[in-house]
Amino acid sequence: MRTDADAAVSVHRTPRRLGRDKLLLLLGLPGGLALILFHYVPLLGNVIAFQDYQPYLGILESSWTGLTNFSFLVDGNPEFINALINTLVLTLIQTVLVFPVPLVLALLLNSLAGERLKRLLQSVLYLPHFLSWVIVVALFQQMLGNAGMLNTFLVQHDLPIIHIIGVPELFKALITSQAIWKDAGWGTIIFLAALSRIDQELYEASAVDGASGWQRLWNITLPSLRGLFILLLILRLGSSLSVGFEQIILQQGPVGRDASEVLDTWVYNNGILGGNWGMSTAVGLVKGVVGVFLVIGANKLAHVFGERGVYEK
Amino acid sequence: MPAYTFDRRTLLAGVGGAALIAGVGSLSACSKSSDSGKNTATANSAVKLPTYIAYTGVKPDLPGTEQGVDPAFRNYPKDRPKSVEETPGNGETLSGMANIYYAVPPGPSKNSYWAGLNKRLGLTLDLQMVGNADYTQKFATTIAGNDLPDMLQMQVVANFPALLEKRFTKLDEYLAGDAIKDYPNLANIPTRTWKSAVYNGALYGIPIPRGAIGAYHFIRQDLFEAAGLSPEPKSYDELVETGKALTDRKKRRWAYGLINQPRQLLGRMNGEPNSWRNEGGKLTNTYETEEYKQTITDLIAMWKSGVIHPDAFNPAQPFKQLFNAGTVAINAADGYPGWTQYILDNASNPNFKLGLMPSYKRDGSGLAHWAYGSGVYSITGLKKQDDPEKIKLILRVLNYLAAPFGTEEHMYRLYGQEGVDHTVNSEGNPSLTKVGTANTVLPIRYLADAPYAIYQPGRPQDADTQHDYQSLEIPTGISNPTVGLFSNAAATKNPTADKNFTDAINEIIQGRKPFSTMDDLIKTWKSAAGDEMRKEYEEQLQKAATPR
Repeated sequence: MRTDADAAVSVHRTPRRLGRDKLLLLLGLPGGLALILFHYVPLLGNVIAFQDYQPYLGILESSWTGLTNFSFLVDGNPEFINALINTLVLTLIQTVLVFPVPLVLALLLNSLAGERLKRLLQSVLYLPHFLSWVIVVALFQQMLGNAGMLNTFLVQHDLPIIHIIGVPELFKALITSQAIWKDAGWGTIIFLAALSRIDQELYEASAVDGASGWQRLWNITLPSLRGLFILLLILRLGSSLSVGFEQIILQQGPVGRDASEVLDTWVYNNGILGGNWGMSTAVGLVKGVVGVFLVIGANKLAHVFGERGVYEK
Repeated sequence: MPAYTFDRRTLLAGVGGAALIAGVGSLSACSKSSDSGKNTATANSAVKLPTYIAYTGVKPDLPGTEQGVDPAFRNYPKDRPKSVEETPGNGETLSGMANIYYAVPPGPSKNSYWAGLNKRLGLTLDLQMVGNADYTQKFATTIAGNDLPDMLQMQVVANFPALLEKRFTKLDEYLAGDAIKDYPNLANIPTRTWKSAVYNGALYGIPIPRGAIGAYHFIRQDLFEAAGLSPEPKSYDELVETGKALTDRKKRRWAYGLINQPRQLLGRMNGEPNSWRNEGGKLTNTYETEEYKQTITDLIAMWKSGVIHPDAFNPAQPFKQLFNAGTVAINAADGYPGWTQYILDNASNPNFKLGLMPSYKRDGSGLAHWAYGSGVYSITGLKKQDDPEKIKLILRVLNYLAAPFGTEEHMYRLYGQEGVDHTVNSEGNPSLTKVGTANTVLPIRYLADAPYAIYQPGRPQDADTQHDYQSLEIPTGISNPTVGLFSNAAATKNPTADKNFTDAINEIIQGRKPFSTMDDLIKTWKSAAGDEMRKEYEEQLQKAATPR
C-alpha cells in the first residue's frame, strides 16, 4: 500500500526527475504543443454544435440555438435513419470482413519460405494504400464499370454484360472489396512486426513435440497476436461510425442515396452543402461521443476477459 | 476502414478551431444582422449602376448585337491600342484569391509572365490559386478565418448579404454612375451584369461578364459526317434516330455522356422554362411543369435505348475526355469557352472536327427556345479597407485586368510575352508556347475580365461558325427571371433539396423507382426549399419595377 511517506518522497523526487529528463522533455515539447494546439484546442469549436454558426460572424456573435442542431436524433427523419442503418450495416461488414483480412494476409505472408518472394509480395500489397480514393474508384470503374474493360470484352464477343458498378444491391460488397484491395496489404505491417517478435524457440519446441503446422498456428501464433488484435479492434470501434466519406461520395451518383447514404455523406449533403455548420458539428459530436463509449465499453470487456485492452485498469 | 472522412476532428480543426484560433472576436460587436434588413428589392432597385461606356478602340470582323451575340474576330487585331496609360501601382503588394482549372503555374521568381505582369501593374500580385473543386470549402474557411485577401472571387453562400456588409467594401462612391469613368475598362462591362453585384442597397463587387449564350451544344462533326448524319436533327424523332445511329457499343461509342446533357437538350426541345417561368409575377419552377415530366419520360426512353453512356450517372465522369476520344459524340451542354479548349486538346488529331448543333422544338416546327445564361461568372469582392486610396489602387488593377479584346494589355494578359510565352504568325495570331501554356494560366481572369469576344487563334472560320450559331439561337432565348435576385433559401436549403430531388429523378430514369413517385418528389422539394425560394423571389419581383 502506498503511504504518505511514499507520496512525500515522490514529490521530492519529481523536480530531480524533471531535471534529469529535461532533454527528453524538451524533445517532446514541440510534439506536445502540436497535440494541444491541433487536437485539443479545436475541441473547443464543438460549441458551434449549439449555435446557428455563421463563419463571418464567428463563435462569439453567432446565435445560440440550444439543442436544435441535435433534432435529427429525435425527429425521425427518414433520410437520417436510412443513413444510420447503412452506416451500421457497413460498420458490421467492415468489422467482420475487412478488419481480419490483414491478419490472415500477414499469416500467409509469414508462412512463405522465400524471403525475396515475400518482400516482392509485400511491396505489391502495400502499393494500393498510396493511391487516393479518386484513383482507386477510377480504376474499378475502368475495369468493372458498365463501359469498362470487362464489359467491353463481353460486348465485343457478343456476350451479355455484367452490371457490377452502379447496382444498389452490390454497392456494399463493392466498397468492401475496394477497401480490402486498397488497405489490407498496408494493414499487414503491424501484424508482421508482431509475428517477428514471437519466440522462434516455441515453434522449434512444438515441432520437436510433433505439433503440426495448424496446431502451431492455433496454439502459438494466434495467442501471441491476440492482445494486438483486441487492441486494434478497440481502437477501430472509436471511429466505427466513420465508414468512409470520399470513397462513398465518389460512387453515390450511379447507385442513388437509398443504398449509399451514410452518416458522413448525410452530413455533407445536408450540412455542408447548405452551410449548416452547426448541424454538421452536432452529428460529428454525437459520433465522437458514441465512439468514446464504444472504446471504453470494449476496453472494459477486454479487462473482463483478462486482456490489457488499450489501457490498464 | 482507414479512409478520409469528414469527421468531427476534420470539421472542427478546419472550421470551428480555425475560427476560434484566428480570433473570432476581432469582428465589431453587434448582433447577427438580418438578411431582410437591408437587402430589399426597393433598396436594391434604387442603386445607381455604373454608366456603360463601350470600348470602341478595336473593330470586330463580325459585330456583336444588343441582344447578346458576341463580337467575333477572325484574326487578332494587328494594331493593339493601349487601354491603360498609367501604371496602376507604385510598388505595393496586393493579394487575391480565385479558383483555377489548370495546374498551378510557377511563382513569379520562376515565371517570367507573372513577373512581367507585376512590372506592368507596378506592384506585387500575391495570388492564392485554389482548385475549382475545392473552392467552396476554401472560400468558407477563408471567411471563417477572417484572413481575407484584398480581392476575392465570391461564392454566394448562406446569408450572403450580411457577409458582404460585414466584411466587404461598398463601391458606390467609386463606381456608381459616371464615377466609373475613372476606370474605362470596367465601364466597358455591360450594365446588366452589374445587377449581380448589388446587395443591401449598394454595389459590392466587380462582375466577371459572360455571354448571353451560356453553353453550346457541341458535337463531333467528324463522327456525324462519317455516319452520314445531319448535324441538325429537326424533331424529337430525328434526335432519337441520330442518337441511335451514332451509338455503337462495340466501338465504345455513345451519343451522350453525362445524363444532365441530354436532359438540358430535351428540356429545350420540350419547352421547359429557364429554371423559373414568370407569369405576371407568379413563378413556376421547371420541376413543377408538365414539360419537365415530358423530358423525364423522354430520358427514360433514351436510357433504355442505350444511346447514353452507361456511366452517365457518375458526376465524376470525364465527359470532356470522352468527347475528345470520340467515345461520346454529342456534348450537349458545355460552357461556350470550351470551344478553345477542345480545339487545343485535339490539335494533334487531324480528323477532329468540332461543330455546334441547333436545338429544335419537339415536333420539329422550328427552333426551340434558348435558355440564356446568367451573364456573370462571379463577382469579385474587395475586402474592407481603412484607406480609400487602397480601394482606388485595387480598382486600377482590376481596370487593367479587364482590358478589352484586341488591346495591348489584353494580349499580354492572355498570351504573355512574344518569343517566350507565345509566337505570332503572319496574320498576327498568337500561339502559346509550352512555357506560355504553363505560365499564363494565372486565375486573374476570375478577378476581372472584359466582355467575351469570339476568337480562335489561327482558325478564322471558327469565328464565323460561332457567330452564326449565336445569331441563330440568341433571338429565341428566354431569361431566367430570378437572375440577379437573392434568395437565402436558394443559398442554404436548395443545394440539399435539389440534390435529393435530382438523385431520386436519376433513380426513376434508371427504373429503380416508379415514374409515379415524381409528384411526391416535387412536393418534397417544394416544402424543403422550393416554396420558400419562390416566395423570396416573388417578393423581390413584385416590389421592384425591374429585376435588379
